Amino acid sequence: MKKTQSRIVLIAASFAAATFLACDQTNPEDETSANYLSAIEIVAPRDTMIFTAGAPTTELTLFGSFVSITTSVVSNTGALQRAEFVVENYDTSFTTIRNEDAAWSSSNASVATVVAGRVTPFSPGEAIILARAKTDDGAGKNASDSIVALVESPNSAPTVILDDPPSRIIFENRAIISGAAQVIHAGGANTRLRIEAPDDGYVALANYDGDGNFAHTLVGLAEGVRKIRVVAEHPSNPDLKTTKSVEVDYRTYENGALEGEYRGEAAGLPLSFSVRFDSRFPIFMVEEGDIDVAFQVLGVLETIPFEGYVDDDGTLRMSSTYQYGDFTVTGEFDGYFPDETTCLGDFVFKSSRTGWPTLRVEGSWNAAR
Amino acid sequence: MTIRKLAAIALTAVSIATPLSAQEPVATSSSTTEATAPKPFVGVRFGFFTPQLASMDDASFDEVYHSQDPSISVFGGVELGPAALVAKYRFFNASGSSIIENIEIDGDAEWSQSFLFLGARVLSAATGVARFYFDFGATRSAVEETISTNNPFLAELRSTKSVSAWGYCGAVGVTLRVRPFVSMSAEAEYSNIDADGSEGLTRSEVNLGGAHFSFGLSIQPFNIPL
Repeated sequence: MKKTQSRIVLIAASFAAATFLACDQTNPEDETSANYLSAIEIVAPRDTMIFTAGAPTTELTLFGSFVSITTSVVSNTGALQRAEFVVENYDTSFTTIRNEDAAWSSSNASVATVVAGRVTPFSPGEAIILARAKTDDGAGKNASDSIVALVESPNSAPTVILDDPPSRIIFENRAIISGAAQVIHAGGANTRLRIEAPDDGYVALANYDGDGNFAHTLVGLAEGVRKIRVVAEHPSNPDLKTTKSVEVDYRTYENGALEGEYRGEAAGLPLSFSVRFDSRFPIFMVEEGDIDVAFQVLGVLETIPFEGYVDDDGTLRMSSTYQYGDFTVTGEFDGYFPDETTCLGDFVFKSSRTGWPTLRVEGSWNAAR
Repeated sequence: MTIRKLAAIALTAVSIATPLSAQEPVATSSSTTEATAPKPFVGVRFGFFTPQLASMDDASFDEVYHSQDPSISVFGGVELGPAALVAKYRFFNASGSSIIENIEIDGDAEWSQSFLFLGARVLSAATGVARFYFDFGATRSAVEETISTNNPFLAELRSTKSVSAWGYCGAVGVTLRVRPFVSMSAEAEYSNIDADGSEGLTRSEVNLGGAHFSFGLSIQPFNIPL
């Protein structure tokens, strides 16, 4: 799983919408708890980072998720009685925290050590780098996050990791290939990273950052399924190389690939996906080209149509603003098609009403034809 | 104060309030029979009532209830010369808006209250068309209050509370004989009925009684000795 995806899950868990709790509390005043640390995250593009044995230390960055809870008592008072319940409204913020504020450890010190977030790779192998920090919620629990440190030899073929998906449908003659490659310094040169699309005669060198992360845009692709190769060559020995590949299926709307709205205009392949995302709120269903959300809150079920388009890069973008009574419901869906039968993505969903706590939920969704 | 004590006081009061002329023996047996013979009466009365509910720390009755029906009373009793035994039953309904805090919805409130009065009446001498009287005795009241909101899904804000309690009550009134068997009457009453259990409120005890003003009509269908 990508670190970015795990972060979405973390956010979803933290917001957890607004929680209604019946209780006997009679104080009508709003109360806000302190901003406490609820989760931490090692900032990295993906769960695995590639290091080269003997290379200089790399400093990791730590992110904290802070939660404050506002409690208010909603009451109904008659001449003889009062009925009430407590609303807990969660507000989450994210900020960088000092590496010294967490306890760091390595599962295999002979492979890599870590001190205050600084990773030193020693020898080939795998080590789990773990950061832990005490949450401030009074429960004395620990928040933690980890990455896999993949330490490779400087004298072997450079390791390459490509980001998901291994295949996807696109609707333009360009594609973005991203991942990470092992950075090896030898003889004054670095790892040579090459992107190739043999069917289209495309060859280009890719740039990467100090940690080997790259995102390369290929252009000039022809229609159909295209295999794209990523080749990482050792700087001093071209024979030491690693090749990984992904597939993109470049389609045009004219060839009947998709139907639906494409930037406001009718387009091809029916989106007859069936999605059901069951949670307390909301329920998603994607059928016949539309995403309908059964908005379920306080027992009300309301279908909310979403409108959007499939972008050139194959991503699905849908949004909706819906008025139900005094509620305003907004939602955004992002997704992509790894193949013709699957759609994956993330969502953000929010409902608000003047004077009510905002209900919000985030997460990932998937659909299958 | 117990009902037994109230009854004792009532009997004493009747004794004190009864005019001497009514207590003195009279010359003829027929007039004695007519003056002391029990005479039943029944009637109906409409009035205005607001529960006092004592403390105003929380919402007062007037803050919540804006639409009050007139109270409707039925009463009956037996007149025994200058005194009478009286029973009254009264019910009263009100509706209004409960007070909602921290959420923008509307509240509803319904109030239903009944009274049962059992006591004694002391009547002034029947020298003309008007007779004054004083009622006192025990009274029991039962209240049911239902609060809700215009959002049927917020079950947490719906509640029905029922309270009943005994208390004491006093009333002064005047009857005007308009026909041989028909009288009109006006009455002012005050009752005190302390009840526990004001759930969730700062006050722990409320007075379900209060002032009641009413006008009515009574008949003595058997204005003859029983």
